[in-house]
Amino acid sequence: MFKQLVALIAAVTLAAPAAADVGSTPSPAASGSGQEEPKDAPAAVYAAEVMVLHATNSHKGIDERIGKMPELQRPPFSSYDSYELLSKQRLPLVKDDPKTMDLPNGRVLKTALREVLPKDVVRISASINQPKGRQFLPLLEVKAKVGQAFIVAGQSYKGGILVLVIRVVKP
Amino acid sequence: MNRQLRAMAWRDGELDADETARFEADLARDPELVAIVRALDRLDAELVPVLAARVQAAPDLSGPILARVRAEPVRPGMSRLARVIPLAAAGLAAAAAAAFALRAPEPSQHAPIASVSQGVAVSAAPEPVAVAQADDDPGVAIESVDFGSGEGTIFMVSEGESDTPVVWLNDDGPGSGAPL
Repeated sequence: MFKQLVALIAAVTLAAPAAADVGSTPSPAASGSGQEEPKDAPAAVYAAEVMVLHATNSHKGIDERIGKMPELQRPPFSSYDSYELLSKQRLPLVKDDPKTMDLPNGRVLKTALREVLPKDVVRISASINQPKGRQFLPLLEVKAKVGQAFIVAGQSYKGGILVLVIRVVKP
Repeated sequence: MNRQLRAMAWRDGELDADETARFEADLARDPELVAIVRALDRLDAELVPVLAARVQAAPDLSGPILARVRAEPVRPGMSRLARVIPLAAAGLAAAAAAAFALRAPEPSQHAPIASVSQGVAVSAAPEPVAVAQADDDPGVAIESVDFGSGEGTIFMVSEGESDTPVVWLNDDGPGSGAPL
């Protein structure tokens, strides 16, 4: 499979000498959670809406609470026939004030606002940590327009996987 | 080499005779390993044809993209990169689709090890990792990702005119049944 996939890369891939814009690492001290908000905290203009889905092959279909998500019927998500909405939470996006959310598998999702760009576009970071502080996904940086979603999937959970659908919204 | 990489190598016939025998012995007694191999079969059957079709349909934007990539400054932090294994990347511009897997050898690394934007192909290189951007306003784009000591894949799932970026984490934890 590697060979087939690498062959696909060869069709469109560029060998390039430049480096990535690595950005900076997230603030080492998580300053808040999704539930607690200091009284004098600046109001969040944007939020990250996180839907935690449990994908299994339990023949239950797609939970209607998930709403319209045609991606789930596309490969590789279509490898699972059941998607259950486990939780849905909004994490306010405030600069220098990361928010955290407990995941069902004991890991912790952390989101942070990195930059607000014109036209309702924000640059956010996300990371997933293990219970004892070990990092599972140390850093993910995404530039997203309000309403646009991205998906973080693949964590093992109860015979299936977790699918995190993260969408930037205005609270 | 973890179980998924061993399974990939076994399917590709890249293990030597001893390793093949060991893997097949493991396969006979490890249901999770069987699940991994089946997941790879599904990926092969479902994802590869999709990506192949996109490659064939994609316009050749390599010239402009390469010019932009070369204009990007080299960042000192990227010299910490040691190994990147692209799995797949396909599609450019509006018909974007990119998929690749990354692996960092040292768990302590915190610097992002790759950057990718919608509609951009990322090359395999020990260091630095290529970064490119085909669209100034892609709606949503994965700009950088650090899989730490783990592995993962980035690809796009398209529905109509919209593309949703997906970061797929390879999780070897108990109960893993991921199709990669």
